[in-house]
Amino acid sequence: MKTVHFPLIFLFVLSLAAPLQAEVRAEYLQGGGNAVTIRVEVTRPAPAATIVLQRFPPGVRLLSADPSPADVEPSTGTARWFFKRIRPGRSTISMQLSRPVSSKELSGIIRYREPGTGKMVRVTIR
Amino acid sequence: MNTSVHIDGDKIRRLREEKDLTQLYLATVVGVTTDTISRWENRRYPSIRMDNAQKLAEALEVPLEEILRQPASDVPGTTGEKALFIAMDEDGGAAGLKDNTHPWRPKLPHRFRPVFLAVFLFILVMGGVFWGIMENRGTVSITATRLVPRHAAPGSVFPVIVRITVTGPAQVPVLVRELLACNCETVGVSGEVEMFFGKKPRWIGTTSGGEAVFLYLVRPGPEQTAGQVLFSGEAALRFEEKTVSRIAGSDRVGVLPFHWADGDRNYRISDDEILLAFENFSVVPGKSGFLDEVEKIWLAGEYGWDKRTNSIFLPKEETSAQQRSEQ
Repeated sequence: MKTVHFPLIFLFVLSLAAPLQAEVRAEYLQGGGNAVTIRVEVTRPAPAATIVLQRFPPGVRLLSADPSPADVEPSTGTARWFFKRIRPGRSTISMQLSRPVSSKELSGIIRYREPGTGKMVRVTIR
Repeated sequence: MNTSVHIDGDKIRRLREEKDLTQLYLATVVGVTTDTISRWENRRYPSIRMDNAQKLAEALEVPLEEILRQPASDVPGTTGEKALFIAMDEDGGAAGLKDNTHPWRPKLPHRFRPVFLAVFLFILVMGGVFWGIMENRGTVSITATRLVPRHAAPGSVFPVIVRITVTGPAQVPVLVRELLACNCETVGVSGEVEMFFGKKPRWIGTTSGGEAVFLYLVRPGPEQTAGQVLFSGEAALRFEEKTVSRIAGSDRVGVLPFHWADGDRNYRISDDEILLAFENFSVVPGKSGFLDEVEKIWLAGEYGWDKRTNSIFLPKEETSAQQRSEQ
């Protein structure tokens, strides 16, 4: 008790003075078959804009996606989404690929600038 | 309620020395510090808690009555009876606060002391914040900062943001006056029809939560292929003519044949650049149509500069398509 209460309360006091920072997390959810979903979680305050870059394994094509990507580059096997004023909370990007792919074969990143500081942040989709 | 009694300090010392006991021993038995024992011995009739007096008597191996102040005391105001006192140290409060035996001190278990300290600090901080707010309540001040891109192209609009912060009332009408020195004009961002405001634009707005943001666009003249757009301006509280602040921050934009969002001037808008443009200038919901062009160029990968018209930016594909159609 002695070692638990004090740090908790003190951290709470410190948190009042700490500036709020946006946090973006993303993960792959296997949808079964050729479907893969990226689940994106954004805290408040949300960034003004967010770029999602998805790379596909060689030979795999993106057949469709919801929402649609801003652009798809078949030569490099990449697709990009550009989100303006993404809402805090959970959002998903649903993709239909040309063949079943495990989430371990996929790689993607999310880029945004931290509100307030403008610091560039790069988050790996896990 | 704890009661206290007056003990005879001289007698405590005499008994302790007769029995060859140390102050540390007494302190340990009673459960106080050696400083407290010393203070008891050095005062004539210190007031201590009854339970401590009993422990002290046990430690000195004498009956309780023997260490209490005797009836024949010459202390002014006493009646000669062995009195019980409600917790007030006759020597005043300051010394008593340090004393473990002070009857007014709340007995707090050790494990709660850090919590008590944290709560105390929290109340102290909140009190300071509240005091600061109350202290500044009567004073009103205004600060204004301008944000512009480093450069902009002739004939192409670029955004300007003026951020106002008012200390004092959360909602207050403010005036913003800008003066531009350039071959250029200011353009409003409301609606689809462009509204022109010349070189002396003015706005009236209301702060929300002590803040307000003004966004407008500036278009350098197509013929101005070099030079600068210079800004000077001030912000004022509408009903307080004396509360005026010069608009600080960036005050010039170079006119160059590069898009304003192309920070490194390489005819490309990178991920970093588009994100910076949105983070800095997409501040007024529903009024960021001027950023569509940035997104278009970012998607196209690069843009071209049309030297013939000297004022048009288009993604390279569209430039090429335009040039093909013209041929």
